[in-house]
Amino acid sequence: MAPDVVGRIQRAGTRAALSRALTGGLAAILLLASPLVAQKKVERRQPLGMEAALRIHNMVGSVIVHGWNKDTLLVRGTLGAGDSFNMGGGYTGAKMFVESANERDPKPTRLELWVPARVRLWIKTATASIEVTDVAGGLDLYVVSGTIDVTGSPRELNAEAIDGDIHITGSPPWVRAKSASGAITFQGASQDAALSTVSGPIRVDGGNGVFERTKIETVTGNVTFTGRLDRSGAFDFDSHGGTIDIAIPEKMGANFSVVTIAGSITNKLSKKTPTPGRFGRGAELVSEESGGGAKVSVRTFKGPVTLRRTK
Amino acid sequence: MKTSAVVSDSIGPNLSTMGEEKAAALDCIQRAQAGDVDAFELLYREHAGRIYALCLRLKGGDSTDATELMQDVFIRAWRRLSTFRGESAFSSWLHRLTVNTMLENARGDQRRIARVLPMDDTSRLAGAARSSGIDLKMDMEDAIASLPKGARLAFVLHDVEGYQHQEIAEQLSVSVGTVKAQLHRARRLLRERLER
Amino acid sequence: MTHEVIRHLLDDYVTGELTEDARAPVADHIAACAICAAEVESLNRIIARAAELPKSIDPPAEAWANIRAAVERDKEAIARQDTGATLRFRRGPYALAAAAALLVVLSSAGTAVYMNARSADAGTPIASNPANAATPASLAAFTVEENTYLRNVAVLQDLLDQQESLLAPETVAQLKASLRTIDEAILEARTALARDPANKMLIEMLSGTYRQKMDLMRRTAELTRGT
Repeated sequence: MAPDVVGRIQRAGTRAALSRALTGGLAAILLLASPLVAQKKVERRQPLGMEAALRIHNMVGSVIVHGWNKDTLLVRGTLGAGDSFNMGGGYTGAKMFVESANERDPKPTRLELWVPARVRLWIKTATASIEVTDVAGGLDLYVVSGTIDVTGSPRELNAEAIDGDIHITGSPPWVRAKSASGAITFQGASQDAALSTVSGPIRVDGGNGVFERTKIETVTGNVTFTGRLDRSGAFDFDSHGGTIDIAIPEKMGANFSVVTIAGSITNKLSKKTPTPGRFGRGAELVSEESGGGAKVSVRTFKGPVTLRRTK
Repeated sequence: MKTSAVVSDSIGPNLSTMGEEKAAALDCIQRAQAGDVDAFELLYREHAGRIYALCLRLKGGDSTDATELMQDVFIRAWRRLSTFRGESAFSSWLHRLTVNTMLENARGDQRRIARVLPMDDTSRLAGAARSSGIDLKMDMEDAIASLPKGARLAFVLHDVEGYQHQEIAEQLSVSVGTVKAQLHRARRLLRERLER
Repeated sequence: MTHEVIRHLLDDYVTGELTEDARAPVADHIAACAICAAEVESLNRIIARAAELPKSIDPPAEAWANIRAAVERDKEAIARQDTGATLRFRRGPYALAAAAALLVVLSSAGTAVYMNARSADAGTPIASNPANAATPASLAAFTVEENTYLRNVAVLQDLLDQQESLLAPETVAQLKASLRTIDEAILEARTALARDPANKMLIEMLSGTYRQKMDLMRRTAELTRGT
């Protein structure tokens, strides 16, 4: 864990302990609406089981979540004038949402939460950005046009945006990330990953991590993938017009099947050259590199494909 | 179109009439799903009567409203045909679609006001219930049409169409208690109006 | 059980929905109470008359003509070239899928090749790509899927049209742009397919792009619904 993250958790822990001592008993159900005050602050705390479920709706602003080692939920928020913060639930699950004074022009809300690390977290916002750190449970994150930032390795991560970017730093074993016009960047590796965009770029850098099953698809976004491929893995890259750039480590073997209807294929892994496609355009390449291994299938309509070794 | 061949080829020579009919119906649906408008017309011909009867009663006897609703239902059915997977009978699927369509139209409809058909205004029903001219049945349709909307829906769906309380509650998004209460009310009102 | 209580159970009694232990006392009471007996008889009559109502009533003759016209308009709109408005945000009667139209460019020569290839292709074995086990490899199967796709898009289009007011204008613009990007890709692939109808890879790619479009529309509709 990064030192600043540890520091953050320690500080939060101290604050939380102090707070608990002051407030005394822990209520089972809290349902409080804050009164009408301009730019007000709210703070809520309640016990929440280590593997509880937590749902958050926030329309505009930001939601920042930190995972910690306590069975307590702590929320600190800053709301716009007239808005109300609502929270309810119990030990096994809690729910919170912000109600706008003016639905047509909601003010931004900033919510910062500390949650038990193994919680199952579901967050939906319209334009609020979502930032989640050190949550090891399951994540379901939905934005229309905010940014999703996940740091850590939740056991399951499902992130969907329409017009927002998705950044993943960590190695969730199971990842599904979709955006239409936003970018997806993944710094880490996964056993089962599916990333999809329409026009947004997709950048994957596995570092030393190993990928097993990966499906990457885009219509016109540019894809760069750098990573180690498990020998028994299956990899699919689909693009219409976006470029596909795949880099695998020196000496790593793989079986490639690359087809492009109207694009080009550049093979820097070996001397094997692509064969021309039908009607005098496009190309095809079927190649076993370095003794073979993972099955890599690449298909594009006209996006150029490059296969190379990592530098 | 080649798709029909698959279904009929798999049927053996010693087939009961029931089996043949079912296979033909399935074939028709599949062809309609693949875009065949003539096949869709066959489906329409087979089910329109039942659906129109339901629409008419749901719409309190107003044949204009009922026709418009029915047209809406079949156009939606055309668009959503791919979602029919044969888990229930096609008629049941159409039925649910009819109730859903009616509810959605009612929600989105700002112009129209729920019309209650006054007991003495039978002109609306002219030509609507083309059953035999027996007064008894005409009275019954009138009486149902005169019910307030909630009671009418509950009665038509339960006593006429045969849905269970639970199913009706789910479709109308109300509690079973509400359905029962509306049904109770409908039957009492009908009794009053028919047995004067 | 008192008379007052039993009066409320008569509806369920009449339709056989009472539990076993409740039936007996109610039946006993009815036998002894003239008011309840009359009510039960009356209920039975109402229910019997409801059951006797005609199950089927002939609709007006012009209904089918109207339905057919709308269905044909749907099909036509989808087949027509419509580059401008990818999303039409107005709900008219029988809102058509014109705005979300699939762009199909088939020259008459292309159509002939398409038709011939279809019947020839029906018998070829389906090549399976393990990563895309469910995609159609034959053109005949693809045609069915394409029609399904077109109809799903029409339904989703209706939904998005209704939800337009819930989305911010910038988001709407961005969404339109994304859908246009996908439509252009579909057009290119479809054009290529017209020239090379037996190309299984093209079919699978096109199929994948259809799915991406539907997925985007579905996701948007779902995300907006909760708003």
